[in-house]
Amino acid sequence: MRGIRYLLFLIMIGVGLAAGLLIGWVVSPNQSESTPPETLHPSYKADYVLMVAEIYRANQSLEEARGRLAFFKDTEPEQTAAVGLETARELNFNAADLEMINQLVLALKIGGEEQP
Amino acid sequence: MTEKRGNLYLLTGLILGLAVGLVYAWVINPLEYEDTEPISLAADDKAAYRQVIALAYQANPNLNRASERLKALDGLDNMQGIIAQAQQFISENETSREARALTVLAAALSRPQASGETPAAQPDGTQTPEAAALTEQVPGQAAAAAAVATADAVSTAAAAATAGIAAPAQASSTPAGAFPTLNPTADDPPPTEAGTSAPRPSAPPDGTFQLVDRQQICDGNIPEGLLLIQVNDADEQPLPGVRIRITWQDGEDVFYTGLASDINAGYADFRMMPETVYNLRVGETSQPVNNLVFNAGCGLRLEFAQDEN
Repeated sequence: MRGIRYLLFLIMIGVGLAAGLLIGWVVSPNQSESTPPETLHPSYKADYVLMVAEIYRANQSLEEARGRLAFFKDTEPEQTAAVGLETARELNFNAADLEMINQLVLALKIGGEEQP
Repeated sequence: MTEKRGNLYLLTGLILGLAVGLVYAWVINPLEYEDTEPISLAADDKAAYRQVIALAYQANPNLNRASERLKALDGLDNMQGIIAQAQQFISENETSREARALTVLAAALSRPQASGETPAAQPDGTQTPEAAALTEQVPGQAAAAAAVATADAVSTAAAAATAGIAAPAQASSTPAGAFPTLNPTADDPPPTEAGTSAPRPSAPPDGTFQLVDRQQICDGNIPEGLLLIQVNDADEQPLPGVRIRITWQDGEDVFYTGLASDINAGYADFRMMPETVYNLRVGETSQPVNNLVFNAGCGLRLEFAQDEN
């Protein structure tokens, strides 16, 4: 008899656990309404890098480009640009856009090497 | 009594399990989103993103792209976002370059669709090929889910196994096709011999402006003291993004044409106060227009034209 009570107790714990997970992950997840830039889909990140490349091509300001790329806080600007270029290639961005991003990537790389 | 106490232990187990589940789901292993869209960014991040869109448009005037980017960021009501941000910059006296870029883009978006400028519907209501291509290539609201919820796969499976339920499903949000690698449109600059466009410095709508018309309007159709300013280019087309500085003894104000997109792209206005003398300068190098005053019952309209250089 006592064994059955323990078993039922464990089952109810399990049911409560499942309900807690359901509530915590599905019904009412503990999340803010906004998401950080780092979670953007790679295609949007690649497009953002393209926009920075367009701006860079116009004003040749590497410092500004780095500042804009720091929008994604989980990677260094150079890495963000390089990953953006790879994604752009995978998504078949047109040749002119790829060239622009490539120029930005090269400039960031050269600029990074020149810094002490 | 004994039966009630016997049932109570079941409730205790349920509450205990619920508490453990909630702590785990909310604290130890909370949901993490990935593959999100710009529309879910925080307000500050959206403002930074919007700036980049506007500056990119200034550098490479592709209205199609800019429009789709703004839709992904602000949804269908994207004009308000740009205008509000431009006005905020101006009121805070922020760097004029960003404010101007936002203003120019807002004005461009509010202009009637010129031929080849923006994909428009065919006369019979169908999409142009450019619009169709754009729709296919943009991971917009229709193509992608809002977010993908993910948790650590191992721990999720383990936790789910104890409860005998499936792990949280991961909704696919893979967008269709590339974004926004459009086929060349009328907006795109023609390729050079090298195959890519030569660098195009961003050209602010500045230069010298001449006062070409001055009218006092006392017919009651406009509010008294309202200073209406119209700025056109050398071809008599409304010119957005032109900086206007107005000063008076105790202060000054800076604003740009094109923020009142419902009127026209070259329009701006200012409310003059009685017993105050104003001086106004359009652009950076133009001759100022001095001694503008409030006249009871009347407004004042000034029209400027850009010098041909």
